[in-house]
Formats: sequence, structure tokens, C-alpha cells
Amino acid sequence: MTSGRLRLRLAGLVLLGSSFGLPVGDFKINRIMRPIPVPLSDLIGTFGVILVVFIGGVALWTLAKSMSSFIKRWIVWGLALVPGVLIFGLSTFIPAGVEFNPEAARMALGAGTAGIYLAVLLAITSQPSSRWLIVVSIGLPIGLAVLGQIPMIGIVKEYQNYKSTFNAEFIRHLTLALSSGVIAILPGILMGYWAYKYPKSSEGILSVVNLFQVAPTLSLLGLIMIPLSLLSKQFPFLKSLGISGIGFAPAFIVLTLYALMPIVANAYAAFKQLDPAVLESAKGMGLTSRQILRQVSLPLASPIILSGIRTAFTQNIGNAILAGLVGGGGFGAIIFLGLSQSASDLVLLGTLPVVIMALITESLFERIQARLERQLRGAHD
Amino acid sequence: MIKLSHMTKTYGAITALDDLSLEVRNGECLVLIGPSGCGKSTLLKTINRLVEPDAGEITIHQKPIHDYAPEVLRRQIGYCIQGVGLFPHLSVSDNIAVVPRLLKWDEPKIQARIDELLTLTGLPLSYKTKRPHQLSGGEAQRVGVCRALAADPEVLLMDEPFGAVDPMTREQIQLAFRELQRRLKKTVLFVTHDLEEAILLGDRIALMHRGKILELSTPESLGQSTPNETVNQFIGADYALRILRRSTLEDLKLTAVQPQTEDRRLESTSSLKEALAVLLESGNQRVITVIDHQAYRVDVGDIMAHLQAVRYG
Repeated sequence: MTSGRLRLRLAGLVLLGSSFGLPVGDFKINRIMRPIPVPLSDLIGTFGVILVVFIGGVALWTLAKSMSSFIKRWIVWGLALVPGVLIFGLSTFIPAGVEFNPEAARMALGAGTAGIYLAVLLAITSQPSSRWLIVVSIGLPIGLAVLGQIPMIGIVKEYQNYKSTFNAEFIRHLTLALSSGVIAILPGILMGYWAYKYPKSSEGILSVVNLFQVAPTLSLLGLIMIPLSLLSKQFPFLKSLGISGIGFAPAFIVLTLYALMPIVANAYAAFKQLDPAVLESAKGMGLTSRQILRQVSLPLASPIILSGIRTAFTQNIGNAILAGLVGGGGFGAIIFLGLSQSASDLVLLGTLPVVIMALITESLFERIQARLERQLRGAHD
Repeated sequence: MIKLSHMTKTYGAITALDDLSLEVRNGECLVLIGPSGCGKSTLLKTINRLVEPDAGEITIHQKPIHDYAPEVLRRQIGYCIQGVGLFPHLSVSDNIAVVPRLLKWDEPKIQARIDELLTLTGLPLSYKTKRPHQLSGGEAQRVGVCRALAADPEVLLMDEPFGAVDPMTREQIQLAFRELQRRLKKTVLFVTHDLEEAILLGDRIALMHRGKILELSTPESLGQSTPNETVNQFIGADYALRILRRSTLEDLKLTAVQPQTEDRRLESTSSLKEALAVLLESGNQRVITVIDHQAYRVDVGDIMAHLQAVRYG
């Protein structure tokens, strides 16, 4: 409960700071012009800000003090709607005395909006079972964007401009991250098992896998590009298959190598923590080594192996951004394009989906893991 | 009958088995006891080939164990170890069914066998669906015994099976196992470092030290055959008191008496050790026991006579 109180206090501070100090939006006449900061008071007036902060404070205070959970439920659901409402307000706001062309003008989300969203997240997560609330707080702005209700928001504008690229890179990103993860699963488990089965080899295997992990992703990409481009020069048919120094192939290989480490390390640890008494009695009862692996070791090791796979996938979703640097596509392509043009909204258009994808992957695996563990421990307790 | 001849096993500089020979008779519980590191577990594991000896031969019912593939051999031998090693992801009944399923018994027979074993070890049938983590230490140990007995093996190897259970539960489960063994008459090799346990459960005790068997005899006459410093040290000066636990009042030749109200009464199933303790604190009070509606007087002299008979007689 104390961590919940702490979160709420922090939420209060952040809310106060972002409402008064920081601009909630940055209005730009076009993509490259200097932004005009829009504080919250421009949207709803100084009195409005004071009212909002007051209401917010009371809401947070109510959450902190133990009152009926019914009221708390209403408060957190209300809070989850705040970011969407704020962004909608920003989209409709037109600064006074500024000439602009509505085609080119846009409203970038400001630090204040980020702060208010952070405050909302802190408040929501201070309460139990906050998963759906988080989904709503993210989903409402996205829904508004899809329905065309917030066309002025910068990131939405960028999406309209890059729609077809966005969709293609989205597929690309997902394919890259997931396929390289899937490819790493079986060899990863086998290497972990090998390291456990033959202790002499374990140090070797683990340190090689570790090397991939310690080497910076970018330099690994560079290292992979050299042999690949040499290969495709030597054997032109490889090039026709799409294997060359740049593009999908090097990104795919590097991501696979990266995904190996958590899977191997977890598989190794999973087999190592098996109870020796269980293994000895299995052997002593006359199970063959294959039967022991299939019926005893693997089922008992599976939760920890699965958590390694989970780490590999979540990390791959993020790492796949780097594919953008070597022509491998994915959201990295959009992010680096945005960086090169100093178009912060475009960068955001590339990063937000990656964060959301990582969160979804994480929670999917969490569910699978919970189910697996229930199965292993027995239905009733 | 398990016959081990000239068994030798070394681990580097350590000699675990030193040209050791031993016979476990059909239907007896032979307890192998000795200080830790004396090689008793190694010896046990050579029988189901978890350990391969450097030299020596083992036969079970005159058949060399190397005639079988290790897995085939192991499925015919019950095996029960310290810490039980139940499979945590399987229910109690699936744990017990492991070997019968390996032997491809049909399912109704397996289910019937599970019920039979649970009843035999005094566990309620409702435990069949429980998982090992839902059992107490003693219950898990009983399930371990069930699992070892599942395919009705003639030979049972037990490696400190009750070592990890708390003392109270241990005594209960030891007594339960003794009852079970009296009924089933398995050929059991039982490894322990607990002398009390060896005395209570063993038909014979083999005292092992540095890879050799120092003495092999019934619990009553252990330490009697040849005076040996190590043996005497191991069994201790109070050994006579310990073996009193093996006999009950029913084993004594007692004098019949008329019961009186001020008599102190003892259950006829009380061990002689308990009886002696009661006698020691009874003072002038007469101690009696009732066997088949007849009261008998219990006297220190009777116990002494019995001890003399079993130990030195």
C-alpha cells in the first residue's frame, strides 16, 4: 500500500508541474516552423487550470485515503479518459492571432501532455487490476485518431502522410521481430540443455552467447554486414534470394543472435534448478533418458524456459528498430527518417507502436505463463 | 535373493567398496548402516545400476543383473530415496502409476493398484488427485513408498527413505513400514545412518565401515560375535536398552496375577523400553498388563531374562 501512496503523491506533483509550468502542446504553422507553446491555461483559462488541479488533487487524495472501492473505481475510470479528452481539446484549439494554412498546420503533443499522462498512469497503477484502465487510456486517443476526430494532432498528420509506409513497416517490424525470435527458440533450448547436460561445455556455450549480448547491437550489425556482403558478391544467387550486406538478412541474423541469449541462459538455469532427488528417482524407477527429458525435465523446466522466450521476444520488438539503420525496414525506418528531418511527431509515430507492441507481447506471455504454472501446480490448491 | 560378490568401487583415492560380498535373503529386510561416506549408498546403487562397480558381480534370484538393460532391471526393483523425489507436476496417482505405465499395465489394473496401495499405506483415496506440494512430509514419504511398491516388485531398495521427515512423523512411518513389510515380505535392502531405525526395521543389520562390512547379524546379537573397537563405538554402551524397543510385553514370559485397582497398567503392545521406563518410575506400585483377559505382573527380572535370552542366549 505504501508504494501506492507514493505513486499518488508523485502523481499529484507531476500533475501540478505539468498543468502550470509546461506547455501541453506545441502549435506549428507547418512542419519545420518554430513551434508556439500552448500552455493548459490557453485551452481552458487560468481559472480552468486551477479548477482542474483542484479536482485532480481531490481525486488523488480520495484514492489515497481508504474509502469505498466503488468511488475509487469511478475515479480511476474517469482519470483513464483524461489523456483522450486533453488530446481532443488540443486538436480543436486554434491559437489567437496566428495566420496558418490548416493543411500544413499541426499541434504537436507537448511536455505538459506527457506529464499529465504520466500522472494519470501513476494514479491508475496505484490501484489493483489496472490493466484495462491502461488499455483505455492508450486506446481512447488511438480510437479518436482512427475515427478522424483529432486530425490536427501532429502525430496523426504524420500518419496521414505516411500511411502506406507505416502499414508496410508495421508488418515488416512484426515479421522481423517475431520470426527471428521463433527461429531462436529451438536452438536456444537445445544449447541450454547441452550446457546443462555437459557441464564442461557450459562455460563455453554461455560465454559465446553472452558475447552476442555484450557486443553493442549496432556494432554487431556492422560485423555481420561484412561477411554477408562478401558472400553475396561471391555467390550471386544469394543476392537473388535477398541475402546481402544490407536489408532484411543482417537484421534478421543479429536479432536471432540477440534472442538466443535469454533463451539459452534461462533454459540452462531451468534445467539446473531441477531437484536432483526427482531426477534420481526418475532414473532409479527405470525411465530412459529420453523419457526423463520428455516426461520430467522439460515440463518442470518449461516455466523458466518460457520466461526466457518472453524476454527474447519483448527485447526483439525493441531491437528491431535498429533494422531501420541497415535498410531492414520496420519502425526504425520511420524513426530514423523523423530524426533526420527533426520531425519529432514522425519519431513519435515510429516509437509509440513499438512501445505498445512490447507491452502487448509482455502481457500475452504473462497470461500463457500463468496458465502453464497453474497446469503444473494442479488445478486446485 | 540378492547376492553381491567381491564388489569393488573407487572414486579417485577414496575406496567406496572394498572387495565386499553380501547376501540379502528372500523376504528379509536387511539394514545397511554405517557412518556417512562408508559406501552404503554406493553399494545400494550398484544393485539397480545407478552406479557401475569397478569389479564384482550381482545376481538377483541367481540371474546376473547385467543380463538386463538398466531400465528393464530398474522397473523390476522398487526404489525409494531420501527427499522422496515425487514428480511435482503429477498428481499422487500419476506418480504411483509411473512404473506400471512403463510396464504397459492396462489402466483399470493400474487404478485398482493405486487404490490398493493407498489403503495399504493408510492414505485416504481422496489424495489421488492431490499434488506433491499439497502433502505433508510424512504423507509424501508414504506416497514414495507406494510408488516404489507400485509394480509389486520383489526387491525393494530404500536409501535413507525417512531421513528427511521430522522425528515424530518418522517414528509413525517407521512403524507403518514395519507393519507393511511383515505383511508383504519383500526382499528389502535398507540404507540408513540411524541406529534406532536399523534396530526397529532390520531383520538383520550389516554394519559398514570404509567399504567393508564389519559385522552382519540380527539386531539382538549385533556386537556379540567378535569384539571389535569400531563396532562397539558405533553401537554404543546403551545398545542393550535400544534393542528393548524391538520386543513387546507379549514376548515376555510373565507371571499371572489377580489385578487390583491400585495397579499401574500397561498396554500389552508396549515395547520393553517403555515398560522398563514405567517400571523405573513406579516405585512400590505394581505394574501389570492384560493379555487375553488375563492380568500379568511385569517385573524388571522378566525383562532382564528376555534380554539375556535374545542377546546372549
